[in-house]
Amino acid sequence: MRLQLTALLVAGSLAAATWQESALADEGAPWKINTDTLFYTDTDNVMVVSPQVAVHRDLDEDGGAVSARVVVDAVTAASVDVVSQATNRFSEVREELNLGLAKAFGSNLPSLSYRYSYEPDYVSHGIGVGFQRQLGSSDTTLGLGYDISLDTVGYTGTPTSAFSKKLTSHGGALSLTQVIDPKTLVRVVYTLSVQNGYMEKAYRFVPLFDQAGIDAARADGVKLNLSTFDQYRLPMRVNEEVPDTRIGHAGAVRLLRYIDALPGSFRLDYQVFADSWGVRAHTLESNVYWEKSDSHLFSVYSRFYLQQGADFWKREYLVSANGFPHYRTLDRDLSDYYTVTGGLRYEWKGDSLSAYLDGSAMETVYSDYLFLSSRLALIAQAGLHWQF
Amino acid sequence: MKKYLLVLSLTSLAACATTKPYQRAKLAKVSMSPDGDEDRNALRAHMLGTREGAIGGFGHGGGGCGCN
Repeated sequence: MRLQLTALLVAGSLAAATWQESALADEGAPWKINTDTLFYTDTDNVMVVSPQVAVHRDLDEDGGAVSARVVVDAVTAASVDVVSQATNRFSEVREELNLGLAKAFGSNLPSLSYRYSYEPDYVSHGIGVGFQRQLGSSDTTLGLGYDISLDTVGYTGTPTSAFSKKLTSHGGALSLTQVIDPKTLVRVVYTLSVQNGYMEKAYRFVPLFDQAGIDAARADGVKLNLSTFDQYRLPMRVNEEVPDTRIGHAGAVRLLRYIDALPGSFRLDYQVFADSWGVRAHTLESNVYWEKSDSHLFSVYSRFYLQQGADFWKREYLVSANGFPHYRTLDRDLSDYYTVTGGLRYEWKGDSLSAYLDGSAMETVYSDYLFLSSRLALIAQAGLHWQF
Repeated sequence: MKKYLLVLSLTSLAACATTKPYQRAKLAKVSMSPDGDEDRNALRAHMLGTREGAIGGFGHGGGGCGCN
């Protein structure tokens, strides 16, 4: 049924694009078919393969297009998240469909998008609207966007009548892109995110300790971690509990500068994020492109991500005379950590075909996570794009 | 007050247009695109979005986890 729906929606999008074709007969190569695959593996026993196919049809020369993209994530995991819950390994497939439509009217570019994502225990529908406008000249572009995501969280093997939770997410974005001079441009972005609903993982049970257990581990000279925590924890395990509302603010700036000496360009991104849970994050990313020729493009990039965890994050949750902590989580993405990434990319561009190969390594260091202190990930991405 | 400041800022930026069409050759290079390749970026943004706590900014699409 899902695949039929996907096929129907994709066919509908392409039919709409074909309908426009007669009006655009004099354009050069309005169709694009892109295939990309991302491969991810890490030392925490997670492997993800994500192939995708996308079809685009230009509707005008000012950014107007109709598009459809289908992506599948095939995940196999025996990570600490999984084995700490006394489960050996799981495999899961996520399917996602994206549809987009944008049409230029003078210097205005309104757009509409729809996203459907399915995995056995998580279904998400997202709708987005956007608007771009050139202010005064093509040197200044203002962008506005809003999207809403309506998610249903289930529990694998359990009917939704027995377990079903809702999560609604709103996102707003304001961006401004400014050409500074013939070789330099700057983009600034502000995004607001508001999430309301169920943000826990139903499969995660948080181990609890009392002071006596912590003292006993210390007396034994044992550091609590994945192999030792079971000996010192209290018998009960409780579900995760996090606040039902999360409001986040992100500000980002991107600088792009063409460098004749390369020849190529340099890109620098900085991003800061803060939310109502106390998470604070800074991201710095740089990218150097080298245009060896019109057909061969190389780039080297790096990314540094530094995060301060949520206010309620604890390495060990202690039970006191008042009971156990109201908010508790094992989601390491809410902890204190940093990530360093370095990568290389090669792109080849022919007349109508282009291809690329991208490889990177990503090291994450957790300073306060009970089950893991670091993780090394290897990521490869390749794609073949055809324009006609 | 904030509204007036925003309008003033946007107007000021619009007024600092400096490039003529014949000066835009470098800006039109693939490596100077502020958006990059949309499909390629979407895959990477989803991968990062499931491994970083921050939301928004230059990426991080939604829709399920597919993570760990």
